[in-house]
Amino acid sequence: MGLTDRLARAAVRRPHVLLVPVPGQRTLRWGAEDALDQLGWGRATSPAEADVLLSCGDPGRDLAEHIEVAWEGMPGPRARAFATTTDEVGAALHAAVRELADLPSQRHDARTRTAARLSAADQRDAAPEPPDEQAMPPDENTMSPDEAEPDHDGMDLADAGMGGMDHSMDMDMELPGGLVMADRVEDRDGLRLEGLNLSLGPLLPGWPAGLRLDVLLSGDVLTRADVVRLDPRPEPAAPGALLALDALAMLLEAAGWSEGALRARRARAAGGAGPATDDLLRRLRRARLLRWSLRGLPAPGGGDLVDHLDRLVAVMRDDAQLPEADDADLAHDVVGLDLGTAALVVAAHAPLQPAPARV
Amino acid sequence: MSDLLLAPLALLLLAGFAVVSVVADRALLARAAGRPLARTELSPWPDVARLLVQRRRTTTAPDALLWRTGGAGLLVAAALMLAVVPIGDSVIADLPVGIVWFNAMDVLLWAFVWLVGWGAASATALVGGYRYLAQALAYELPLMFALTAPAVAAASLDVREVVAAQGDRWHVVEMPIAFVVFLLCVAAFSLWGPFSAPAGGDLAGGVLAETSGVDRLLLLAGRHALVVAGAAFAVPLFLGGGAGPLLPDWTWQLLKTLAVLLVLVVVRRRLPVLRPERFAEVGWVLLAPLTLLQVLVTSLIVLAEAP
Amino acid sequence: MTADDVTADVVTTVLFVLLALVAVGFGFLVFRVDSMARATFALAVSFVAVGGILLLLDLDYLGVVVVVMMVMEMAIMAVFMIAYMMNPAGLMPMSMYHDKPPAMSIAVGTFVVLAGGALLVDWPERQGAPPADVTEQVGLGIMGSHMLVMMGIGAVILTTIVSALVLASARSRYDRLGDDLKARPARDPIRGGVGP
Repeated sequence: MGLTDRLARAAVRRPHVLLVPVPGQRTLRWGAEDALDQLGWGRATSPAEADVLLSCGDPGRDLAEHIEVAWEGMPGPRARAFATTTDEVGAALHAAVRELADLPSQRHDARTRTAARLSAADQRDAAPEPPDEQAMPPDENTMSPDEAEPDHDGMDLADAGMGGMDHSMDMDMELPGGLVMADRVEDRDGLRLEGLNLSLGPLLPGWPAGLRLDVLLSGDVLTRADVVRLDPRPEPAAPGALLALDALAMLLEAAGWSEGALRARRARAAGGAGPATDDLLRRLRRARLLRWSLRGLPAPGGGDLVDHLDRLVAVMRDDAQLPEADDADLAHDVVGLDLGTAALVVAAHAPLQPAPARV
Repeated sequence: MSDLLLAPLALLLLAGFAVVSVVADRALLARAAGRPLARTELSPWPDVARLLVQRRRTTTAPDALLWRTGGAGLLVAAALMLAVVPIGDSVIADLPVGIVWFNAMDVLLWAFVWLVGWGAASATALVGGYRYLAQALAYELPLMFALTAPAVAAASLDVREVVAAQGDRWHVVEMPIAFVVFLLCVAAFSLWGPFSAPAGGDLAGGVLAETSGVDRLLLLAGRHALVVAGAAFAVPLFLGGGAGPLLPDWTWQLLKTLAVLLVLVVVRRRLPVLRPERFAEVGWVLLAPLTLLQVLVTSLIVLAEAP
Repeated sequence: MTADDVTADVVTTVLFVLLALVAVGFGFLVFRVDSMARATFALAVSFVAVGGILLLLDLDYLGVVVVVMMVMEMAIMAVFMIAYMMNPAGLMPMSMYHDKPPAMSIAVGTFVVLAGGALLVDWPERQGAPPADVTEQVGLGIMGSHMLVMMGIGAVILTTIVSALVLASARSRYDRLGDDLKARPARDPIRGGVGP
């Protein structure tokens, strides 16, 4: 039918890509981000929005588990792309688009997903046992892929909530979906709100490669945080200016100024010096609202995020030393902040090299 | 008089302007990224087609009734807001309390956006819904006062009488603060630009987090439709409706709506996202007294000019 | 009465019956659903129906203002219901009735008396036409010469609410700004938007 074909062809012209950064593959991530900026394809903020899953390099075992969960969370039509060098990124993306446009294989994918889910659900019903948190990797949000069978297979908050909480023995209420009642935890302001164990995962948009933050949320305030680095590998060396621009891009993206982040990435792609960088520095000088919104938040190396912004600008302009970051500091700084502010603080900390003492 | 037959035309204009806002937004993004402005770049059709083709998804134990009601509600609220905007000489619903009706429709959004956040049964979506309520508590009072100022100047809550009262001097000249606050609040209730924390990228999309396919399309289209409805309402309220030399009324009205819409699109890209807890104090301590003062000034002007 | 008047009457009656059924039905649903969120918004729908009935009475301003206030209140009430009540998502079946026999008979009895009274009382015939601005007339009729006092009371109520919040707050100016009120920035868990 003409309309379906036209719809399908238009649908693959501008897919949204879920970019998976892999620790140790920073230059590849830069290449992938630049490719996406040049193509004008959107960068997905969650698996629900994504059509293509692009892995920048070979992930380790832990990260691969998270990628599988994200892959399961992507609704069809979906495609996977894999690149090991910057030159391969364009070809991988276009191959993924061809896979998206291949309607018979997408339909096959949809059918096999449904069948696998149904059979897994049957096996679970036959031998019920409490979900084991170690068996399934924690995830950054609830998901279960298909509308046709709402079932309990998806990894969700309940399973994350069962580990690490000391719940009393009378919590045997079986709620539908395998969910459990939350315990109550005292929060920063003295209220007793429900405590939720959540893993802010490695695949959140703009989140640093391989970083997972296991938090205990009380309401939406973090009362406890643990930083987990999945498959840590040393990053290749890069000029300070480029690292500073990368850190700026992540911070501006987390602060919600996507145009600023785009310009920072463009300056980084242009090599770190030149008209793009000067333009960015000029805009940052005039960005009063940005500075107002970043005041008072803890930054790596002391001070607040406005000082951090100035330090990054100094690295670019005067070739100063990049501040250093420490995961223990991050875990400490993030406690007492709410989710959005914590995401900002993580975006500031983590692109920087961890302090040499820990490796 | 009410003219229900205008409704299809109004909806068509709503869709048209929403497309214009998407095109302008994409143009700004393309320019910032250094991409050439081609037709394929600017067209919103690939995004719409992508969402139409994408399958819907669900989560474990969602509240589907509330979730989908909230999702569809944004578009409904935007369409109802348009019902009191005069198009040329006629209006779809000739309510004597058009300004309060607009306020009622934007209050309905409190319910709809929270329902989208709640229904998804996901931590990030729920936080997004609560963020929207926190933001709404901060901007609603300034919005109400900003809507009161033109009503006081025209001594009526009827939108057409507000247009008629701007005969020689537009309200934006008398009450600039109310105009600016009104535009800010339009951005705020549409989850637009600096007020898009409830749908924020830091939370994997906030209230949009678990939606895909048609549900997501409804929410995104709803956001654009709300901005268009807000821009369309600003014209009769502050910019003199269809007044202007040479061209007919309805042309001027469309041009002015376009201008306000483009301002809002530029604001979206230029400014960072304001965090709701920072904005709360701004809304109550700065904007509410300012808009009250504005109403006072307007009342004094009305008294001074009374015969 | 012309044919137009008759049609208008029929339309008004049909709308009234529909809105009344929605108002009462959703009001009853508040106690039948398990989920706190659904209960709150069932109540919101009931209130919106009441606003609609006020619109049918030509009380335009009152009808729309009822919708504004009630939807805002229900959204805030939802936040508190979910914070304080057990089973907010309605995943477990629960019953919200207490003392069923006496409560039910009082509720149904009151409804029958009031609704029956409204429908069956011999209301006087309308003489003349309603005034141009019904809302203004209702306001004058209720508040009459005390309009200025009522507006003043509104400002007093707002001041009282603000003062009560200040008094109830666990942290005072001295906690925030130090004993000499000179500490800048203020010692707050989260930093505010304006001011110290």
